Amino acid sequence: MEGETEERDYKVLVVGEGGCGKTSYINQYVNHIFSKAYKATVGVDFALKQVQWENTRVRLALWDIAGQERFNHMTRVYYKGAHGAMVVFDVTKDKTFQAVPRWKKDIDSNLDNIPTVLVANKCDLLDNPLDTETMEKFCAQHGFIGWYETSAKENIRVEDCGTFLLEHLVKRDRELNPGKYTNTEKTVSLTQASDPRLAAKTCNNSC
Amino acid sequence: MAEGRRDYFESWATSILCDRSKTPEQLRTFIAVFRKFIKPDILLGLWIEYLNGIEDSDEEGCQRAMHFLIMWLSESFQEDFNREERKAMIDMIDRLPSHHNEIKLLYIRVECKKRKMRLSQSYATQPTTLSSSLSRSSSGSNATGFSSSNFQPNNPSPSSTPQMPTLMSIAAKKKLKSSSALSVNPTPQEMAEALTWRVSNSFRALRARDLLTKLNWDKSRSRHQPNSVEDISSWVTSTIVSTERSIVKDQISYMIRLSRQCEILGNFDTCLAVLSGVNSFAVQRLKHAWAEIADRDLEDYDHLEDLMSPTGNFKVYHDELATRKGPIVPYIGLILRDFTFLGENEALTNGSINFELIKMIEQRLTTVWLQQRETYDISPSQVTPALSWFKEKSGIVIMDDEALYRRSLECEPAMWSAVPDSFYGTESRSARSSTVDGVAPTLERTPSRIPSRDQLTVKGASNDKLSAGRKALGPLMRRVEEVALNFYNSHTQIQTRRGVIRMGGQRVYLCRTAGLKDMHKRSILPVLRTELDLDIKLSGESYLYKSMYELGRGDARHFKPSINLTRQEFLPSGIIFCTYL
Repeated sequence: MEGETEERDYKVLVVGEGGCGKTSYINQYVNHIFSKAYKATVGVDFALKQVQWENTRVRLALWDIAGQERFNHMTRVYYKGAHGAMVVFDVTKDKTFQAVPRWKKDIDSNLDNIPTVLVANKCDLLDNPLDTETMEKFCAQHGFIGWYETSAKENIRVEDCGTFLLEHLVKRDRELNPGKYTNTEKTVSLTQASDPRLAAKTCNNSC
Repeated sequence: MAEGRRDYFESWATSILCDRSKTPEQLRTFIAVFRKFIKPDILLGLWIEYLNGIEDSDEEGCQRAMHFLIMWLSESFQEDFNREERKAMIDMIDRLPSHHNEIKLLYIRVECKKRKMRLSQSYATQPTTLSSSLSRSSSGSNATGFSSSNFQPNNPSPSSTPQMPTLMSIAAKKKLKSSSALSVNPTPQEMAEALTWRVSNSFRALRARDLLTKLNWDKSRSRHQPNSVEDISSWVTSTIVSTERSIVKDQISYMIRLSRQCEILGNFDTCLAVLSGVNSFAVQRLKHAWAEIADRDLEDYDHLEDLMSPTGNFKVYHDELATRKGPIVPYIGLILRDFTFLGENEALTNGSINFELIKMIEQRLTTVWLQQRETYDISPSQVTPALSWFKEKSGIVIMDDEALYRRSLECEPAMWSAVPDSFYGTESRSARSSTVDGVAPTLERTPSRIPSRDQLTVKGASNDKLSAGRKALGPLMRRVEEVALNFYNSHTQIQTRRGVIRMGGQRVYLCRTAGLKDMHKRSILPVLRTELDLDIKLSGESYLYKSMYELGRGDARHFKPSINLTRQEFLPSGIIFCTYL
């Protein structure tokens, strides 16, 4: 596919307890604005981030469950077809960290092993960085692909974290669809016997 | 509180109090948001200043002041002031000049109304503990015993206040209670009415301040408990997977009908809660059961899925909401979401209040207030049997996701291997086979084995049609492919290329119905037209999905002998109704 540009769409969930800065994080990542004009924020279903990745034009759709954290069963309507996820917590609020495994479990029990990154947000409010060893252990234990200390407010590592997840999304996509990136054969499709009546008929014959 | 802040706030407060053109909604919004800018006692000071400034002859001004105070007091008197302050306020009102006697009268009226409201509300939310709530509200009846609830001073129409329980209805209820449980399970309609009655009470009790906690503007504890809503989802999933294998399909149908009945009643909150219970992974993977769901229910399910789809910020749902007449219960989570987004904005811009934001808050609050006005014509006694049936969970144990999944596996073992027989139709009720995934082989219809690689050699390639340079598929379609692809790659030697699998020289387009439902009709139509050469017109999604489903099912049946290699001449094309792993 040399010279050609592939286009990919990935749906990324952004979950975590209320007030840990999910919406700010997305705003920062997508617009580089900490606090965004409300006109655009109300009534938007997801935020779109366009990234060029090698010869692929990637569009990341970030879905925010903002405000519905306590309806976590209902937020599953957002889960459908997600390719990746971010679980966000607030480093200054232990309660939001305690809830991380629950969010991860919720993702795992509804989606098929999608790459999930742990986002330790509001690190600008922290005097000392989080203990790396503990965090690594935590990630391994709960099946996160990695973790990032970020600050949506100060725009610290927001981009890095997104890139990291994106890298995994692309990697997984290539594993699952080996044909797509080394596309040497022509795509094929079949047009016959796709009429439902015909299908039903053949079934009757064979049953 | 910074002095500067007080200055600009004062001018706002004064305009709220003095300006006759302010609407009741603006007043209520002000009362809901002022704590962001100023403390309640300072506002009270401003109010007293204003009152003292009114000429005795200015009856309208006086009225306005009273109106404002009553509105405020009824919203959050108890929370804004502690006991001493409330006492002091009552003394103060007592000391007001005689021409303010009306205020005193109104104050008493508010108090009476409050008590009444509290009584009927506790009755409403706790139908089984009426006597205790009665004693509670009478014990709290001292002079300062205001309780705040959804009292709406500018909308005192009788329909907006819950009906007082009559002795008759209490007696009737007690009788019902004593005769206890239902002899038969409630119908979906009865259940929908019961749950709607319950959630409607909870929605109508939702206050502006509960919503403002989402903006971090209000530090008060939100009194809104979504748990009651949440447990509906868990109940739905647990109920479905807990039942006898043979009636799992009936339970799924029941829940679809329940969700549909809620939608008919305009109770979108419960509608979505039930639907998300049905949509949990533990239920979705039960393909045996799903294959047996009646078309009528599947159509309803598709309709509900479309309605509650998050696409375009729940566009279909919002459109529907706008056209509904009569009482409704919106999905409360979305209201909270909007307020969370509003909270991303600064309340102060360039040192003054961000009135554009205030206006948006007002708009959203007004919508909620409007939605809270109309009540359902459902009497408590009517729903008690179904509610108690629900509360006792009809013996259902609420499970967590892991337990649900385990139960789900017991209903239908994992792996594609388990699927073909009963899923694809009526054949092969053959002998029980060995265990699958370590789960006891209790299936009535025993799964056949996974077709091995060797078995999957298919002869005869006659009806291929090559077509190069396809446009990329949408993300949802790709996701569907991923699932199918995983299976095929791990179990067969089939190569895949962009949703088209190649089997022994034949090409088969892979898809599954749930995946199709995910897709928007505009994105699926070109795929169907060009890839499958189907002549499908854009005539409503339900038709489209229905035909896709039929198509998938027909092909699945058709494909089955090919997998088993009993008949090769009919190797399929078209869409295969591929299962979850």
